[in-house]
Amino acid sequence: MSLILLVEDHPINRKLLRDILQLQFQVVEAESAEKALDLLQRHSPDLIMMDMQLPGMDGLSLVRRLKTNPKQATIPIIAVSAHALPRDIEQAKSAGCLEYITKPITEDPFSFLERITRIMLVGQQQSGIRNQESGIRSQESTDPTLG
Amino acid sequence: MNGRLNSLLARLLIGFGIPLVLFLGVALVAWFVTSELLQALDWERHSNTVIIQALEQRQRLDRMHLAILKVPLGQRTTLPGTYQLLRREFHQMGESLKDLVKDNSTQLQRLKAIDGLEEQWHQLIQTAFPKGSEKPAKSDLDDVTQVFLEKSQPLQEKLAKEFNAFIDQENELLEHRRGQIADQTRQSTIAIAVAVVLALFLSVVVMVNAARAVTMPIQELREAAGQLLAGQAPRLSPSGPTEIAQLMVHFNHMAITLSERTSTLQIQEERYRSYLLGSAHILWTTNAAGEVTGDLPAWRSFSGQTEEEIQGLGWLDAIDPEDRAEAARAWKEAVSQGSDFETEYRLRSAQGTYRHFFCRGVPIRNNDESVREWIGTCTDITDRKEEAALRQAKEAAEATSRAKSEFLAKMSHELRTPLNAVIGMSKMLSTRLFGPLKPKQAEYLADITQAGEHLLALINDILDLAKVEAGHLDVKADSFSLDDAVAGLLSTLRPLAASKGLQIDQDPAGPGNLETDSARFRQIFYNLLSNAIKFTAAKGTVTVRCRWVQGTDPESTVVEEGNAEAVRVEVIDTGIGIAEEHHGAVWEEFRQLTQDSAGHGGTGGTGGTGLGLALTRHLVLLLGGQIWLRSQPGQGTNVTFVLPRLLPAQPADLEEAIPADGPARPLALVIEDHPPTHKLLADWLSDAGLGIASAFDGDAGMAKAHDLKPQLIVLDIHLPLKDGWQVLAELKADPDTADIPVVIVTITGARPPEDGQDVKEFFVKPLDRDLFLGRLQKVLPNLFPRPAESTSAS
Repeated sequence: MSLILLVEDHPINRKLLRDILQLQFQVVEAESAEKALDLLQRHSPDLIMMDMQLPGMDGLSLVRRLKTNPKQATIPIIAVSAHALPRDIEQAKSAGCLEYITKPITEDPFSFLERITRIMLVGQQQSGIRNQESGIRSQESTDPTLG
Repeated sequence: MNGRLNSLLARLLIGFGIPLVLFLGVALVAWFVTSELLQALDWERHSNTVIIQALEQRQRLDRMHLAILKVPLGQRTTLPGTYQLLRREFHQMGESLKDLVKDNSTQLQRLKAIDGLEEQWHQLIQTAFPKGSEKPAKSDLDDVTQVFLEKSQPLQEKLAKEFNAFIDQENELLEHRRGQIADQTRQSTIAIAVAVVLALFLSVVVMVNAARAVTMPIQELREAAGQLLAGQAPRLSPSGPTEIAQLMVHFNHMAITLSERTSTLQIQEERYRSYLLGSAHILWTTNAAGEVTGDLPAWRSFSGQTEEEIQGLGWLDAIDPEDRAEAARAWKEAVSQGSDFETEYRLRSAQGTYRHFFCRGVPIRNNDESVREWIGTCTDITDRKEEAALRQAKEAAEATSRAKSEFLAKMSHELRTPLNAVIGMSKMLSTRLFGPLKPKQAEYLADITQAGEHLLALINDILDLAKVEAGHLDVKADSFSLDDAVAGLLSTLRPLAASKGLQIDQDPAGPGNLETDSARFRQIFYNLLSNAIKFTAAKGTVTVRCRWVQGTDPESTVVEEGNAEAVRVEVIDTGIGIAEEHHGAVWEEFRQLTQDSAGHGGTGGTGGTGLGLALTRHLVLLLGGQIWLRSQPGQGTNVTFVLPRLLPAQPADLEEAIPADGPARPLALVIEDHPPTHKLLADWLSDAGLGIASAFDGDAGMAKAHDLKPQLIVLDIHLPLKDGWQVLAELKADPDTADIPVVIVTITGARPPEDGQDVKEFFVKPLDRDLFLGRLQKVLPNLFPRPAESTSAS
């Protein structure tokens, strides 16, 4: 069963998302970016679903921070935010979010879960490609017969 | 040489010297003539002496004869003593006389002849006086006397004759010399007179000449000076003595300089005058007491007052009564203190309208610091004032609009968050994952979901509307088939129509593509169609008719697709219709048509928000089209819009700049990944008058630097994807971006090895607003349109 890290400061929304996600995934919750970083020390989630407006370190900073860490950079991130302006969406995507879902979520829970699963697959494929690439690169650099 | 002779001194020397020399000549002539005369007088005296002595000699002969005859001859034997004495005198004097006339041989000859005759006479006398004792007989005595007398007589006559001849000769000489003297006297008188007259004449000529040589140029100078005073520009040809010629040259110089200065002054005055005429200035002057005494044409032509009306303080009457007292007070105060005058007032024009004037005056002072007159200008500042008011209004409107957008964005966020729970949890419950639902529970859950979705639609419409109003809604053209787009939308709405028992007909325009914003087109069409469905009762019909047309007005004519420049879309329903008086209100925000139509509450299925038509109209206008409404109560409604096939050019996309006001602001690109710092920097720079573009990693920063060509880049060092040093190196390596000034903002304080040459400033966090802006303004003074306020940014 895949593990999802849910970062959301609004308790009711956190509860809602947790309940939906738990229908299909294992979920660890954090109410702040700092807590999320803390949890990431111990867990290796398959996907991170996070709000962008968080107390303390905000969502964008957290995304950037994760993307600079080689271990965590491959984890697909879905932003779930009540900010619906194109600029917000663009910022989050350029920071490294794979998908941006605006609140409120109007799909029924099962459609929502399907969507999450699809995104997770895309993310895994992408990071897989990336891993393969880096693997090839490291082979290239270590293979004395090449170059 | 010539110059020296021509000098004033030389002329004066000549003028007085020549007469002096002439008078000296005259004196010489006089002296010569006088000495001649004296010589002649000497001669006369000499002749007189000769004549007198000659007469005395003759006398002496007579006295000698008498002395002889005194004693009867023969009685004595010796010669009488008297005779002998006289004879000695006679010889002495005879010698002296000979000496006197020794130059005249004739006279000398005569004197010698006289001496000879006297000797003969003396011999005769001696015979008459025999020596010794022989005494002549008495008888003889008478004979002796007789003989002697006989013999003496002719001799005496000869002697007298000789003397007379001598004296006559001498008299003749004397007469001749007297004549000579008279002649000489006359001649010398004439000579002296002539010399004096000549000398006088020459003196006068020379002196007059000298005087003329001096006075003529002076006269010329005097006349030229008079002309100069009269404003003419006389030119003298230098003449006369050197000193005066030089004076004339200097005078010419002075006259030229003066006329040049005068003409320069005239040009300046002319320029000044035309400058004043050309501008909106009114030039005025008053006397020292602050009263108008002359004519002020500019004031008159503006205010329409007459020359008499503005005299004294009459000009105050043209000032708006509300400003008049203050203007008069300020003016009197300035006049009484002799200080600069500055005030603003409204001035009534000849047409009766009032315009704002800025009035300035300064006292012109005499040498003793007393005020001579006042001079000043009144400048029409109405336009400036109006412009300032407009700008202020515009800025206020922009600020309001910005605040509104920010408020709406925030409100949207704040509403969406709880709405997420409402909708999400309703849907969660509706899955029945947590147990079966009773019918009423299911019904209520559906209602909650619907209400939530309506609320969401409302929020979305409000945001769209706000964006349209703020001009932030960007549109971009893409190409799509008109009929396909309409058909697609109809198919999504057909279930809704079917649920109400409505029929939807499509009357297609025929094949052809639109080149406009497809998403906005769908939004417009969707809004109109859902509205029509909403307000049409069961068994009604909604017809969508599309046509290719020419022109975007209601009278646009249907044409072949190939010639069409626009598309016309009609959404026709058989609904309740709208009364004419409500047609205008249809387009207003929150003026729901449901106000007039019972039974259609806010929860009317398709989520009508009351904003739909208002937003639709904005969108149609945004795409360059027009929309209008035809409806009568009970006869259905026809909403028609016409869109150009090609999306008109849009104003520049300013979405990037956070405060999107005006393209004139220089753009600063902030490349900083830490959002609070990023926001802080953006706020500071925005306050300082810059437009802001943002990038949160090195790659995006590079891309935006290329696309936007900002005037300033604020670069963080610790950036995701590409660090600041690399960004800097790439910026500087590219000629497109190499010239953009870069300031570094970093937490480490570590500087690159090749420190300095490419970086304008280097800031280490934490930052201080005033320090940051102050240093930026120092190194990049051209970038900041106005000084940043010193208040601290929140």
